[in-house]
Amino acid sequence: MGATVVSAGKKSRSSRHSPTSVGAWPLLFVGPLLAGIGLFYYYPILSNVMLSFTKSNAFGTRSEFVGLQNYTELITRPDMPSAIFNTLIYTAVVLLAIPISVVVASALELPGLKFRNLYRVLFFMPYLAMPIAITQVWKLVFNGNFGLINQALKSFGIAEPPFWLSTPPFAILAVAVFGLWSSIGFNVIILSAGLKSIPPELYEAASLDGAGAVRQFTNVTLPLLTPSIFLLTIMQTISGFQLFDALFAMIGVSNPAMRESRSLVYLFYQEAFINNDKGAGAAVAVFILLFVGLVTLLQFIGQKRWVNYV
Amino acid sequence: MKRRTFLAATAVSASAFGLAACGGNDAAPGGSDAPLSKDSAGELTLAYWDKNQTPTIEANVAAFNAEYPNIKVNLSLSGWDDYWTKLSTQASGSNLADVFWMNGPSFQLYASEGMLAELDGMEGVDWGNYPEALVTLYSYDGKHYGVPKDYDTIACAVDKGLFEQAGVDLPTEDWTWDDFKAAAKGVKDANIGVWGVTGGPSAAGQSTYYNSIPQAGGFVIKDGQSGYDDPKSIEGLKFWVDLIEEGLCPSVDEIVATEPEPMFLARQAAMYWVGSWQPKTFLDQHPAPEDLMYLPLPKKEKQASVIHGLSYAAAAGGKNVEAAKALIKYLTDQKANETEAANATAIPAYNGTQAKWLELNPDWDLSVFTKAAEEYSVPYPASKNTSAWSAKESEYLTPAFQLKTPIEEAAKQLADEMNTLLAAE
Repeated sequence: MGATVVSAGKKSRSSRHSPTSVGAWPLLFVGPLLAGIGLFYYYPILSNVMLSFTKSNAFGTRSEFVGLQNYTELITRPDMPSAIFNTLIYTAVVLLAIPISVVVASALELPGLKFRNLYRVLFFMPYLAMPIAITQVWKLVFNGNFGLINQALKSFGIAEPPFWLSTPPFAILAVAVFGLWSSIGFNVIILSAGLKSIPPELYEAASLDGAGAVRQFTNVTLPLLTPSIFLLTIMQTISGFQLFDALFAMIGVSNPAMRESRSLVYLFYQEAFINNDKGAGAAVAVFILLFVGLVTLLQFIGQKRWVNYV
Repeated sequence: MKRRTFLAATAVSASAFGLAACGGNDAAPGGSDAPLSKDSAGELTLAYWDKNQTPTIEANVAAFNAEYPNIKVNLSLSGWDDYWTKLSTQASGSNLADVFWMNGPSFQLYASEGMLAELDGMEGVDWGNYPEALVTLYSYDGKHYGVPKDYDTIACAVDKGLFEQAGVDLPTEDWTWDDFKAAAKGVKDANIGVWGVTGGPSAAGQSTYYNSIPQAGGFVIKDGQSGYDDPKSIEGLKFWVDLIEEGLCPSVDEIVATEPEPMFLARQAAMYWVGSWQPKTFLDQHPAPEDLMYLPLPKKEKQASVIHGLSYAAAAGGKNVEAAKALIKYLTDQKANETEAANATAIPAYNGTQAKWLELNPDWDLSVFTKAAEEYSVPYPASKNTSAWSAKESEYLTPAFQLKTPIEEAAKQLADEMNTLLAAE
């Protein structure tokens, strides 16, 4: 029965044809925007790539071409594996927010739910608050001396709970938990929109076929939500790879755990702004770009197996 | 599908690089040499990082505008960490603020790269009016690039109330490291639930080992060489390791969880090495400021306190360097320093204007800070690329302060790393 319902989502896409030629008109409309993107995105990217092949002074005013030296130094640096690992761990934990958000968003769409809009606002609110301010609250939650978590653990009889934010394996996870929590609001909004676009007839048909609530969720809701889930996976992966501000605000430069909690973007910050080596910093940025690009490409290849477009 | 791919690709490149590259603005022309007059018009930007000093700056700018009513001064305030990231980015884009705060660790970098306007022969500035250590700190290749605005030294704040509670005699100003430790131990052993001393070394060295190292007869940097492998420097570091090991000072983990200042304000520690920028906070936030007193730091081989101070600098490539210099004059003259003293955020650099700062609280004798500057201060360690090696300090020393690696080993590794970085400058 489920299979029939799913196949409804696989509508043939071959009926679309490209429009007949309209000459230079499109360029006229796209041009101004393209010029802006070129100037503010592609030009800086290009100059950043150039910079990554140079050894330059602190302000990038004098530079000397050194080929791939910055890249070989980057790849062989001892903290590179841990920076990649930490970034991946953080991203993986943040991606866990998506299944949670699917459940929340579906619950918000349950028929007959009262105060639906209030819940929506409540879930979305954290997304509007300033991230740095929220990190300060989370720092208090994780505080080793008097934090909420440790107080709770102590009341359960655990005498010496760890100092979460200054003990290496926990520190990055604590930041990731914050990342997970703070991404739920945005996820729920996107998924709610996705849920709204599912035609109610499908549920009607499913229930006529005898599908219960759970069956409807797994066979109607989930498959038709996959485009939204895919979009979120892409977006959250990209933002996960950019981990810096939460790490910087929650762990901080002089924290003993920082040495083992650095992310890739932190390496960029360290090279470009602490060591004042702009060339090496640029190489980190290019590396991140290629890395994110590769992962995104793989996601796009993989999506064919699981994403259903209506 | 095509559209989606394109959008995603754009999003990827845009987001990964939003953080890397900020478009440069190379349009800043060289300074116009038109003489400045009362009618000169224009706009200047003034960048700084301490919100508490906004009233002082506004008062000084008002004095400047009384003379030059048509020059608009825009204040640009950033947080401490953002400030340097922003300044570095602006410098890369030849788009520096016209006038900005400069500190010792960053000065040589900006001066050597030609980012700062030379201030020699600046009208109305007599360099003799400022402490020599500061004027020297802001000179590069024999030329002046910054007018000192304030300075800070370190002293030991003592919570007399906690000493009384613990039944321990108050220390006196001619104390040594041994006296200091004995006092800390006395308080700790009294079991009233307070630490002998806070201010552990997870914070920057400025209020900890930058002082104990010279006290022990060592040095952080001299003639382009790291001093961290010097046995006397190691002794200065060991001072803190011992305090932590003996349980007189909170562990690094504790300090990360509760920073020294809030801990001292909550009266959980009896002693705390503090900078002269802190008494104002204590006056505002300590539950019983009358219970506090300030002593010179204890001596070992000699008495020492690290001195640092900020200066005002002007961008070399600014649109109106002459106006910027005139503004600096109004920010650093005697009147400006008196305003600074009255607002009590920092000790003003202009000789003779410190009196008002000393009167912050009649219960306190704050002259330990000015006396330190005059009699036994050591310059803040700096080189051309200070931040590169100072970031390594916490990286290498923290495991030692966590009692995970022996301090001798950590200090030697740090010295090697620092010497490599210094050689690359």
